[in-house]
Amino acid sequence: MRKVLYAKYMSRCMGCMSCALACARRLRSSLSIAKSAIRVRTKGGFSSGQMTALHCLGCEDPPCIKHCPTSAITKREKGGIKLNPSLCNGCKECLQGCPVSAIFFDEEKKLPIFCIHCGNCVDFCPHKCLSLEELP
Amino acid sequence: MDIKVLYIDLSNENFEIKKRNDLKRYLGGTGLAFELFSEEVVTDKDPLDENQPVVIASGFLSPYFPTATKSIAIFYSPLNNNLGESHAGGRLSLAMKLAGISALVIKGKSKSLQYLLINDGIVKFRTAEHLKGLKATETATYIREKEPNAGLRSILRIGPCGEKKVAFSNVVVDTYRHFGRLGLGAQFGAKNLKAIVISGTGLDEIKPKDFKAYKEITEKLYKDVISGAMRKYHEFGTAENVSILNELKSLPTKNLAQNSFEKIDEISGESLAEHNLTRKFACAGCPLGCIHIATVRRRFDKEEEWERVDISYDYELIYSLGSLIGIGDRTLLLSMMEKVEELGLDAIYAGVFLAWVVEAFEKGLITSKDILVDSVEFGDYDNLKTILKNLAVKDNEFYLLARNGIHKLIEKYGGYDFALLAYSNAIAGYHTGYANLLGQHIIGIRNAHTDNGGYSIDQNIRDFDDIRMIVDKLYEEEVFRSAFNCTGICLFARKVYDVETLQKCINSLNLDFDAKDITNLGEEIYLKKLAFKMKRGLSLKDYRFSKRFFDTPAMGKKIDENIIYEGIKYFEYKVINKMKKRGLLP
Repeated sequence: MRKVLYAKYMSRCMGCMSCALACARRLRSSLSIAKSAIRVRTKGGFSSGQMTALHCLGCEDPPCIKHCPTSAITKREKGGIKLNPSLCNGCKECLQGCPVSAIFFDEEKKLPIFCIHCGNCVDFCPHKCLSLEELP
Repeated sequence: MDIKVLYIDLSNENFEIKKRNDLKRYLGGTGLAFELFSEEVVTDKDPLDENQPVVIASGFLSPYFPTATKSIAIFYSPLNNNLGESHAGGRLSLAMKLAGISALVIKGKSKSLQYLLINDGIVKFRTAEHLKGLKATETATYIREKEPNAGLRSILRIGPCGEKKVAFSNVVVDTYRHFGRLGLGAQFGAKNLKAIVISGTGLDEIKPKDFKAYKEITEKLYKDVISGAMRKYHEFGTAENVSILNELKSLPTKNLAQNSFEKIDEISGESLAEHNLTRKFACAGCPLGCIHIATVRRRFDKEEEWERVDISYDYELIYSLGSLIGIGDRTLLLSMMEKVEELGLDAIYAGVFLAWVVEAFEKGLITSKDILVDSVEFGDYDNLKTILKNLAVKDNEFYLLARNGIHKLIEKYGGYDFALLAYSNAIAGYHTGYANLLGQHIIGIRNAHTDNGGYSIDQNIRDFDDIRMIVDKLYEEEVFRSAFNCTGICLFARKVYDVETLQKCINSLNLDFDAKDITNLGEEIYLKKLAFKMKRGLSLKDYRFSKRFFDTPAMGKKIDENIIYEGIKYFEYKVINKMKKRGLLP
């Protein structure tokens, strides 16, 4: 069963960044949201009243895979993609390949950062904007 | 974690980062900012002299623990001609930490209007001539489009009043938060600094030695914050207090000629929630979300021509731009908040200024020739709004004086007896009694209600035999908060973070610090600041309150002036001894 992260209710988002902080903390043992696989931002400032969350959408046929010259990225059975770090050369081609710009880059480890649909961020969203949903 | 300070010289367009681990024991926030300010301030020059420093320090724990979101600005205040301090949330602390910077020290003056683009400690000096005279909101719109790192940055900016060096102008942080008090906006204006954009890659982020311990503490606190007593700040928000204070007869109304407002049901927190609340926002790192956004639907032309505007509201704004100036209509109240925001003014001071103007006009101390409107009265939205707008554009004697603060107007026109000032700062919206009066006017280092929470002490201790007990409580709270404000944790969370919890949090970020260190730090910072203020003219024994505070009953009782002066005498004796012991006074 595939499970994919959705940010369906961003009209509720307060911009507290708890999701991004939790992602960085739980998955990368980091205190920095720059290491998070989910990025929350406004769409034209807070006064626009619109928030957006950038994260891997779990494409059925992920275009980023085709962009990876070393086959380090492969499809993840449970949704999204996975990385074989030993094959990754840090070329950032996958960042270009993502149609929603939801692959980020860890400049320290020289590896891409993307959502693995684990749901840790969902547990730290105080306004229930995020959900992890099963796909057939 | 190294203390890294980014020094910026606007005059020569230079910058440099210095490691200041010698200041580690001040943690960050107010302690670090005050030390850096003390090193650089030029006390024999005007507060707005270009050599004066503006210091902004991120809290030590920000944004690594829930609600740790605050950055503290320390500067020479053009309003009180003495120490200036102001606190802001938003994304600033998060952005400073991403940039690897503990504090900014900004000196000098740009040759023309500029904004700063700070990324990972690299500063670029950008022209802001095209932003001259623009509202704070518009300023951010243009910068946001032009500059990189959306979502990982913070944008500070001033409005037209900051550019005009109005002594009670603010700095807007990420749209809905502010360095509101004591005139930081004027400091930016005096430096030709329209805005600062700060962001970073986070590569310099702290790495806790015991990550598991850090994770456990922060995740436990997350639960405490979203589920505990703090929920009230999320539900109705601080606006909940409007009806409470009104009921207690402690809500300053019509320049504190009254202590409750007849139109309270229209502008209460409950009413705003029912009719206008459409959104809540949070500072980065705070899962609570206390920023309440109201939507106003407004007809702007004949027939069906409408606009919608979103405005953030809080208790203090409902008091200062509502009950205090007699505005009891929600749309007009929110529109007044919008105007204050556009001009870039301290919202509390703006209301206190308008209330003073109305009463001075009623008493004939000032005329329509001074204020450049035919007349003005409480609740007169159109003329009150025009007076505020005039601050930024009219250059007659009245408005030139007004830009320096109400006390300057009083020197020419009189009217001290009804001026709601606490050592040149405008009072917050509480007329609760002795602790509030002593707390804001005498003991509070910023002359702000949040310095020591006197309004809360008044509500908890209705009767007392000895004013010294109240003074001791205020002192103890002020000292605790002085240390607390080094951490960057929001004061709303003060009950979640006791001293023991603070210690654990600090320790988890690789710094040895025990509970005693925290208390000592608070007292040291407070007494140093007080000594600074005394050396620059603050005389406790000569302090005189305006009559209004004693004429209008507080929570049903008139405040006895003699008891207040008794309290001041005891406080002065207490702190002078402590300062002498620490070698802060001869």
